[in-house]
Amino acid sequence: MKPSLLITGSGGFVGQRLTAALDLAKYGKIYCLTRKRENVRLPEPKPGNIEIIEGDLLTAVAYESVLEQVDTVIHLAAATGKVNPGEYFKVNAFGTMLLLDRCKQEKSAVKNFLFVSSIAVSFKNKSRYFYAQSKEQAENYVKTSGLNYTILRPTMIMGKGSPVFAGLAQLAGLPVIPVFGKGKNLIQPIHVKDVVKAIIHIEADSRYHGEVLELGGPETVSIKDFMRKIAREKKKSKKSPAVFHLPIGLIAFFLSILERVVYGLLPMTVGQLASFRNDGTAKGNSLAKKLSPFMTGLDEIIEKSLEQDKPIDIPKPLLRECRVFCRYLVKQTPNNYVLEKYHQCQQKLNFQPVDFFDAFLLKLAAARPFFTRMTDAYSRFFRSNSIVRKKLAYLMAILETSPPYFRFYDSVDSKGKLGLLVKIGIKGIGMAMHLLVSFIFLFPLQLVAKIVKGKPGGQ
Amino acid sequence: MTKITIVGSGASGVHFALSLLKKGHEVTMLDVGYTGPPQKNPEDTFYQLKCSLKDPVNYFLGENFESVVPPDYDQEIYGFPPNKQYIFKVPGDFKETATGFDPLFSFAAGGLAQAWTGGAYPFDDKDMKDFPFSYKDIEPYYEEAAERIGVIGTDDDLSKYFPLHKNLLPPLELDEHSQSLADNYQKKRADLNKKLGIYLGRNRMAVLSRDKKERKACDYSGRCIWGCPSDSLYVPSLTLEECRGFPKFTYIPNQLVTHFIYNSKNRITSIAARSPEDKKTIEYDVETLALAAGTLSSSKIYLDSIYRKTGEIFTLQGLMDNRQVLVPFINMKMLGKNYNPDSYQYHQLAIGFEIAGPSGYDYVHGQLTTLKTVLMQPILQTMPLDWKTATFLGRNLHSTMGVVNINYSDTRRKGNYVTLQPQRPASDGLSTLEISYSPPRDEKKKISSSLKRVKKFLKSLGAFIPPGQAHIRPMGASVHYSGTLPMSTKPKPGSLSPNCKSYDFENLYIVDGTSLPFLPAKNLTFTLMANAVRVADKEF
Repeated sequence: MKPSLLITGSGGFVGQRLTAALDLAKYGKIYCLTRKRENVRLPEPKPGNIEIIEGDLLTAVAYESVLEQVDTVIHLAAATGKVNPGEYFKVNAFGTMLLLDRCKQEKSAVKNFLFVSSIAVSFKNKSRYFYAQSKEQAENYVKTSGLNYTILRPTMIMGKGSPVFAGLAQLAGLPVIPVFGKGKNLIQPIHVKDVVKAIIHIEADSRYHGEVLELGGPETVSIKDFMRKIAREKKKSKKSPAVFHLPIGLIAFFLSILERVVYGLLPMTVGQLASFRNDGTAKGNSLAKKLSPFMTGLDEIIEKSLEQDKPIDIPKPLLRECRVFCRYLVKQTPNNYVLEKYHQCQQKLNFQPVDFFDAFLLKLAAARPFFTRMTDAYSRFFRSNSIVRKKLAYLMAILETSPPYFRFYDSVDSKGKLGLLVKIGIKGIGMAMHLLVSFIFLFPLQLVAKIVKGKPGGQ
Repeated sequence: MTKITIVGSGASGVHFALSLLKKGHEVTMLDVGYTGPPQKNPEDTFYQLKCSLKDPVNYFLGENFESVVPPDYDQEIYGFPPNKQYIFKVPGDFKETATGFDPLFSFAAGGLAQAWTGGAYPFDDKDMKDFPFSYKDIEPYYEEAAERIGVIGTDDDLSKYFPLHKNLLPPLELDEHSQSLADNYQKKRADLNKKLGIYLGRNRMAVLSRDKKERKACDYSGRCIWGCPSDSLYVPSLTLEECRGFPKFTYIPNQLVTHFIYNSKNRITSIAARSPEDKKTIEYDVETLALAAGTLSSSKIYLDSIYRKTGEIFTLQGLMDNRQVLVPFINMKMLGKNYNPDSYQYHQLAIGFEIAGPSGYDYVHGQLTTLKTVLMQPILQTMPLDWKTATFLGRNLHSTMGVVNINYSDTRRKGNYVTLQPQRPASDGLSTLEISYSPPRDEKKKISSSLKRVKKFLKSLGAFIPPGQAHIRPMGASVHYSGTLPMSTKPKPGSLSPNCKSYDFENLYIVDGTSLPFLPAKNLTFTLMANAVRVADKEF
């Protein structure tokens, strides 16, 4: 019988690429645990042996029943980036413990456990680096679980859309690059595809012998040089960009005090500075040795990480209009799919303003969400067939049927009846205010439009 | 063994065919037979489908965004979803004109019931007062039809209007909103029955609550509206497939039957069919003919055949259809709750009550649908609010929304007829069907007095009725057409024997809605199936 897998965090940066790269035919069933179903990337038609489980790592009921069929768990889910310290421990440490506990239940069929940890666990100085601390705790749970395990500790994971790279690239994009400390600590960036390859290798060889495998890219570089390289590639210049060294000790000191008071308001944390204070390189092992010759080189890593989605080919005014309308309707920016559909809709239905007032309304509405609402509210009562209302109707329908935006339409704002009724009242007053203001400004204009239209020679 | 040619593959045609085939007869079925796209990702729930489809907007809104309701839209806000549009595709050769009636036609394999919502109600003796047979006579055939298609139902307050026959499957689980209404009804039941005379119970529906051969029990995927991916909701194309398993069954699609040809002894010898694609006409020899193309199409074939032979244009009186009135409501008990997309989408509950009618008794049937996966854009569009406020309300009231679809009975009345237009184009010589309908004079009064009762009833269940939102659907919208060539015990022209055999033509049967002498306020589809089975049993 073919083995079955559970992949946690399958909608994440590594998970997305893992599900796309796995040889599906080798497996009986592949269960993908994700918080948001639309984040999992699957080919169409959907392969029959993939099942997406929408749920949280902390809610074991979501996944525990499938463990009865699962041979191996690939545990990728983690809290990363800047979240509250408690969140790191809750998700990374407690979440892993919970998962391991369920894997060890009598009914569970799980034998192997692949835990993707982080090179940060090997950092000497993990003070106030809650992410690394939580991952270390999780590693300990894995080691003492009694399951056959492998812990993979990748270094900084790069690639298109890499959150770590995005942070560094932002700094490298400044006219003078700020570097925390001397910037001489070494890093060994690895491309996400190579991490995925390593996972597939471990899984294919069933290499679950209780190892901790550190894994880095093929080249080692100081963080300062790495940022310079990014800057050069970004600006397409050969000149070595200027670097400004910031006193890391002092910053860390102040941050550590401030963190205790206003953690949420700080632009960065002491933990995030750790990459500037510690060497983030991997110790050699047989897996790294095997994969290293075929890994993506440093220059290519930077090149690929800087790649962006091709800008969608739609007229600029339409693009702007769609962005503003989207922010008005669902408080989010549209993705390429929505932009494309909005464009298609415009092409097929060819919306055109019927007179100068209609054209004016559209222009005003597309300026910013505040004006969209004014024109929308006004049109609803005084010009229900305006081009703004039409376009909003189609865009709303597109959003209602497109992930992830449909979620905006799917859940109530408040569970309490009284709270909801109060909110409804406030919304009603809000609309009335917009309507009043828009009436004062727009009604005279509409009258003028009507007079001009009525005059001989008027359009 | 008899050779029977059937025109049409709708609910009546396929069940008539299946019964004949089971008895060893030879059946040829002529049909236009449009088919739809295959179901996408059938294992996915509605919610999963939104994420797994490459182009969900195309699937839900259509290639040309036809499911979106723009501000200047003046028709009913809910049409059929894009993947069901094929059901209503009309070949260019089929021409009609209507007054006071918005007819829908289907030339799909499986017919109109490919788009039905599954209401499977037996008529009782009161409904069948004008029929040439009683409920007891048709009961075994209801049971046979129920066995074939799978009907859920239970003994409750509505059993007084829906006779309990055998072969009923247990009902499905109620969604939270329907459950809340049912619970409230139970609490106030005695009072509501006494004061308003309204009864609430589970709807009878052609959906499976347990597996039946290849068809799976309803898995609450929430995809009903876009076509049940597990075939738990019955559609006639399933029976058509079953028929095709019989060696004595010949299915000839792409054939639009225009007329039959008969001799001087009024015996039909052949039928003429035209291919909608290449416009070629083919004649097929006929031993026994059964029309099951749907009331309007069967009537047209009937009228055109006589015209071509005699030059006379007849008028078939007595066209019937159920008037439907939609009453939206908001169930305040559901406020603050999220709707559950993983649920059965159509009306699980129904109400029934009596009003004074021409013959003393008139049954009114209301189907209660709670809103779940239906698209919200059409509703929000109609709200007198800007999009932001409408979205807020829609999101927060989604789980509270519901609608009652009230159905009224109809009688055969003079002035409601189908006929042919005298002129026909020389180019193709094809006829144009003319339909005329006007509602009974006292209809408004009947609707307003019964609406008052329904509104009171809903309020007692804790629902709020938004004022001015009740909507009277145009005649023709319910698609329960019937009555133009009714069954009758007395042989007279333009009517049928109690076993649906024509009094005018020796070897003609008309086994669809055309044959009904009265149309109660109940979806007629299940009765059409049972009646077709009955005719096949009695006559062959």
